Amino acid sequence: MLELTQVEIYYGKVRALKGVSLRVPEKSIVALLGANGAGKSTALKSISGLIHPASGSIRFCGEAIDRDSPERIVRRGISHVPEGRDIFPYLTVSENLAMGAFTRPKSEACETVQRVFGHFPILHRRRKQMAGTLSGGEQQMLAIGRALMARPKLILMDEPSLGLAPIVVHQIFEIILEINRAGTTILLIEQNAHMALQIALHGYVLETGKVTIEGGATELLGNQYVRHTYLGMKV
Amino acid sequence: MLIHVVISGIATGCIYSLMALGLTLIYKATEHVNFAQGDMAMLSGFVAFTFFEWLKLPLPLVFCLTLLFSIGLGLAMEFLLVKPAIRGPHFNVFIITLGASIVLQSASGLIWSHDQFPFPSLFPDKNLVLGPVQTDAGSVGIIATTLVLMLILFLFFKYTKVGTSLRAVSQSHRAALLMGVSVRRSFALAWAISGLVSGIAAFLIAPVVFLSTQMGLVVINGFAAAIMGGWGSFPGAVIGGISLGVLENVAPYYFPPQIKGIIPFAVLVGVLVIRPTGIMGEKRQRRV
Repeated sequence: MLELTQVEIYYGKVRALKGVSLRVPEKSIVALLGANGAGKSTALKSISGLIHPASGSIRFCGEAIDRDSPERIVRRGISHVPEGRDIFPYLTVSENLAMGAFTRPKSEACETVQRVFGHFPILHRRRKQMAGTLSGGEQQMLAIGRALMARPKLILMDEPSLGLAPIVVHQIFEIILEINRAGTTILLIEQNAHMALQIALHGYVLETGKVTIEGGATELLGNQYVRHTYLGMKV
Repeated sequence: MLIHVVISGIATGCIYSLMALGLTLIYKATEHVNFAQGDMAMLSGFVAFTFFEWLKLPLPLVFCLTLLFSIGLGLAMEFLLVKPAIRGPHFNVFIITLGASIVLQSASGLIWSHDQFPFPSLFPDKNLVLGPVQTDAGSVGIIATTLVLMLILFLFFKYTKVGTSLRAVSQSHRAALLMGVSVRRSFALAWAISGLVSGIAAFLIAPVVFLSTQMGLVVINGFAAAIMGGWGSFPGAVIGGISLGVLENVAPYYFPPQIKGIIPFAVLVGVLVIRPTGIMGEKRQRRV
């Protein structure tokens, strides 16, 4: 469904992605693992059109999207849950969700909002509150809910577990699975490799802008190097 | 008598509020500071004057045509001056608008001369008696127009999708982009609305102070109002503007008239010493 081929990205003269290729099959969960600064977020930003690759191609459902604006890409059916959540702190929860459906007619949005509240009942209780007053976990739920409002075919998630208590991380991952079962494809960035590989079908390890290891999730969980470096296990 | 002074002070304050509101609109959406806000109003004033005095069009038609011009002026400023510098530091845009302010002033002087012209008021020139309060229709008209405009702006920003998206853009450009909001179009829209506000301000200011190329200097009071109310806050812009206008009008009632120009700024300094963020201002939150 999504295919990156030899994508290269520069920040000024710094080459942040050095020819990254990866594939996300339809209805799957694919995990992108790696340490800080490996280029995971950069890869996601290039998919959602926030930055454009210098070379290489990004194809979604068979069409090249690497020159599209973020606006076009949202309309194509890709939603991005950004790093650090990036909700609108001075809009209410409802308004945040409404913004998620910016590209869609109002009548459809009303129906989708009920589904989002189904996934996240807490957001319904907090719907009139300013989003900035929510807890970290609730803000993450809002960020995911907001992305769902566009009814995407593919969701890009940038570190949804960052800074959350373990119990909340479990909840979030449950919901990610739920969303996936409902038919949405997910590309997930995580530092919490253990959690990510438990729900993912396939994984890629990114190191200093290159894919160094890829394979099925169980295969990666068994890989000595991955176990040592990303799962913190003694070899 | 005092109440009349206060009411005309509120009317003056409404004008400052409109200036402050125009500045805040652009600042909130784009983080740019538009020094030419006052001169946009001045130019709209002269355009209205031309329609009215030279082409002899009826005043309501002049009003509508001028507001269309004001919106176009805001869009043109954004497209011609701000957009090319969009990747530069915000300070560059400030200097560009400062330059634009001087150019607009000189160019208007070239076309219409630097003389003062009487400007027709939208409101009848007569006294109003509301119970014990005596005041003039002009002041009441200014206050009412400002209130209606503010109500419309409030409803637009609070309840429409596009208005909400403008607020979203002001909170996070990146997140707004990811929602499919075009940040560029939002910038243009903020300038267009700001242009509209400056056009309405022109119709309110010009009858009071006469139309001249110096009229744009009212932007200084607009800045003072916006800063006193809390830079970047819409309610702050309104409260700051009205307090400034009332102070300016009431002070000469008790003190020598020369004090008029001093009091508002003395109070501004006082407010900022006690509350550095202004009356309604809040500390800017920085994300870690």
